[in-house]
Amino acid sequence: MDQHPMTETLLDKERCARGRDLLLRLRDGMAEVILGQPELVDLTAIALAARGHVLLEGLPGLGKTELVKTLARLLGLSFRRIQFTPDLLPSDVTGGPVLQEVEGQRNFVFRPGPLFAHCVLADEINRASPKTQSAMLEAMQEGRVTVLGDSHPLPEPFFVLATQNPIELEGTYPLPEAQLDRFLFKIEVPAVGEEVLTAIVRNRRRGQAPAPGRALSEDELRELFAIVDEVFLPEPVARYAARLVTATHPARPGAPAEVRSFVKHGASPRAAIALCESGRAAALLEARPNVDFRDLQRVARPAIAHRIVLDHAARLEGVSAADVVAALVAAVDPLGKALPQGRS
Amino acid sequence: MPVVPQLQRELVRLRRRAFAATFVQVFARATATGVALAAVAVLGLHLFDSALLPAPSWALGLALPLGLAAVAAARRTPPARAFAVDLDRRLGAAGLLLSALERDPGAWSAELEDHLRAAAGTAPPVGATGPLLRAMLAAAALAALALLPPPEPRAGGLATAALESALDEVQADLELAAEAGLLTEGEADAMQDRAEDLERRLLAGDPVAWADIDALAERLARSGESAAAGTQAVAAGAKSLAEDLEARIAGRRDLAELGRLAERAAELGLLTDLPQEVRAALEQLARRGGTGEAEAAGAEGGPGLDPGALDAGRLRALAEALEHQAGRRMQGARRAAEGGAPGADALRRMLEEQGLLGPGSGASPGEAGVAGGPDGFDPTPGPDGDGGPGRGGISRGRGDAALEFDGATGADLAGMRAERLPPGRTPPDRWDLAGVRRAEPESDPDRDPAAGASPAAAGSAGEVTFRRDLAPRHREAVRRFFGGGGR
Repeated sequence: MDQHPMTETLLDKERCARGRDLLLRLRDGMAEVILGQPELVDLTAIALAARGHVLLEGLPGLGKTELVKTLARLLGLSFRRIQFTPDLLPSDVTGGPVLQEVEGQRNFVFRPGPLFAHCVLADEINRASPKTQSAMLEAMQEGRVTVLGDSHPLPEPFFVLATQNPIELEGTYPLPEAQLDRFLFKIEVPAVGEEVLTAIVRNRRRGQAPAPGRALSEDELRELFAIVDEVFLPEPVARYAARLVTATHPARPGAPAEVRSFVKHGASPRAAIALCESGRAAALLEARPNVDFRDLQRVARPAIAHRIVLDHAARLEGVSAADVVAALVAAVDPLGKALPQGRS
Repeated sequence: MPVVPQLQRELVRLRRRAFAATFVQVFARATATGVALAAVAVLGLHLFDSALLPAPSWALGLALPLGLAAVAAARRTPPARAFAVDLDRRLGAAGLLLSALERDPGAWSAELEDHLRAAAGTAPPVGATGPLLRAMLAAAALAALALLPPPEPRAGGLATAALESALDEVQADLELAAEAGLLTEGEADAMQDRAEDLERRLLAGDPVAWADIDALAERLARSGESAAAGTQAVAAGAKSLAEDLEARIAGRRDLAELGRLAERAAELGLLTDLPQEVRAALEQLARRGGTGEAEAAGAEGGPGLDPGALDAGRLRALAEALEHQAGRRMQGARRAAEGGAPGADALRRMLEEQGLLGPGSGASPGEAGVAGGPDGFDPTPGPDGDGGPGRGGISRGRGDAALEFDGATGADLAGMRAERLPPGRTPPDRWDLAGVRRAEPESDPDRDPAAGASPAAAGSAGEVTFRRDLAPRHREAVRRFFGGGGR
């Protein structure tokens, strides 16, 4: 067997525990406000630790906006909310030049828009026109805004947490695939149960959620990012992520039957990147120094489902992208190729 | 002990087990297949009265499955590193084993060691028992087959079957020739006796040479040729005799010629149906015909010969009988030639060579091969340009038959009458306008499936239709419509 030079060491236990502690503070802070949605809270914390943007989809009143506001309070970062409407213009989001008189001279000065904040809530993002939606592409991918040829960097870290609801689709503009691809996760916010509703109405007058204090300082957040980056991704796990994403393409030989039947276009390479990056944060949440196959399987649905384009057959059969991803995870073997086994 | 080398040793151990498992499986499968083939061969040999006795050299046959198993195991077993995923998952190490192969586990060495200690007892079994047991069972079955007592050798074996078949063919030809009257009774009996003798010897297992059957077949062929030639001569002679007999019996009795004919007719067995006294007189003539004594005996009224029995009426009857017999012989020969029995083709060729049959199987000897038949058939090349007399056909008659189209029918049209068919689609010039709508016809199949595109059912039908569940039998049609190439 070939020997690899062991020049690097796995994340030590103390640092691993520290990263988990930071992540848990963030998660628990959100869980205090958002009741009965543990998976939503976990995934949001994972996405944040992986420095990704999140698209929250759910019916009105389920706490999407509250979640984002809570997150901003927990992080103590600058927070802006943009309510997307059909008449919203790109310059309303990015900002633009304004004529300003300084010392008797009139000059165009760039006035930053609401996008210039650490944490941006893009509420009901699918109500804005495609032109305005696409104004966010550069901001989400490059972390900067270019107006009239001048690039303006956005503050670091920069998160976009967008919401949309799946009903009342009249007068909305579904997000284009390129825009969807920029979101690390698309998380569906489920309805809550009877117990949770009881707790809400008993403990919160007029639905007012408690205002949490700051859970992480800016340095602690940067420390969390650094620890997440140190989580090791073994080669077999990386190969598994690549196989998962490759199998979303119906023309590929390893694609399962559900993909061949219902998927029109597979996921982009960003899906594999999103899988691995969020897999690191998921591993850290369990205080492990390395990513495992189970971490990728846990984040596969929010990381891949919104990146595949289903065809009409899926709608006819009532198959959702989440169903396809579930079938994908079940079909793609982490081993890749079956090993010879003894049979008695 | 350093943990990473320990992990690598564990992976090598796993690889060896996988190699062994593959080796055993392939060896067992190849052995079982080889044994099955050998068993089929042994059984087949037994069926054909032969035997394959077990020998020590059979053990060399194991070299092939062994070699196959070694090659297959070497090719199918992946490198040791590939087993890390399997080991990691089996031990629930959550990727720690995988990471340890690429990075120094550092503080995680203790956990890794715990996992490796647990690995010792969880290695998957090679699973050699089952496959090897199956292979051994197959080998035991083969051994049992090989130890069957060898069948008692049957005389001749395959050669006997071929001889029997050849003898059957000769016997069939013999019966055919006898039925056709191509053989005298004595010849037929002699050859039949010979054939039965050969058959008895074959059944008894006594040696029978091909030369015996060939000799019988050759004798049958010669007799057939001779009989056919004799038949032709007798037929011609009898015909000639029948034509001239009236003149001959009025003048000098050509007893010598009559004697020769009678001798020939007796040889061919033509005298059997004649009246007793005529047959006796002719047999007497026949006995003398060959020696030239007939004429003298006739003149002298030799012993035993009653010339009075050969008066004009009896000779006429004799002529008719001879002609009748000759005709029967020719018909028999023709039937035999046309039949599908074994040897019919050879007999047909023989008769054609002797001019007894024409080129067409249905043609009589008198008509066969004659250009220009009694009905004036003209065999000159037809209009097809292929040199033949034209193609003719079942509805045209022969190739040179005239084909005329006069457009007339022989049917009686007077009894027919015109009838109006049931009403179908109304012609476009007789359509009625029911109404004009400014909107597209819409339907709501959920509310009123029967209404179709009626105005009463119009509504938000598009959305309803899209959202409703389609019956399975309709889904394929919708897919084809939207999917272009269909899927």
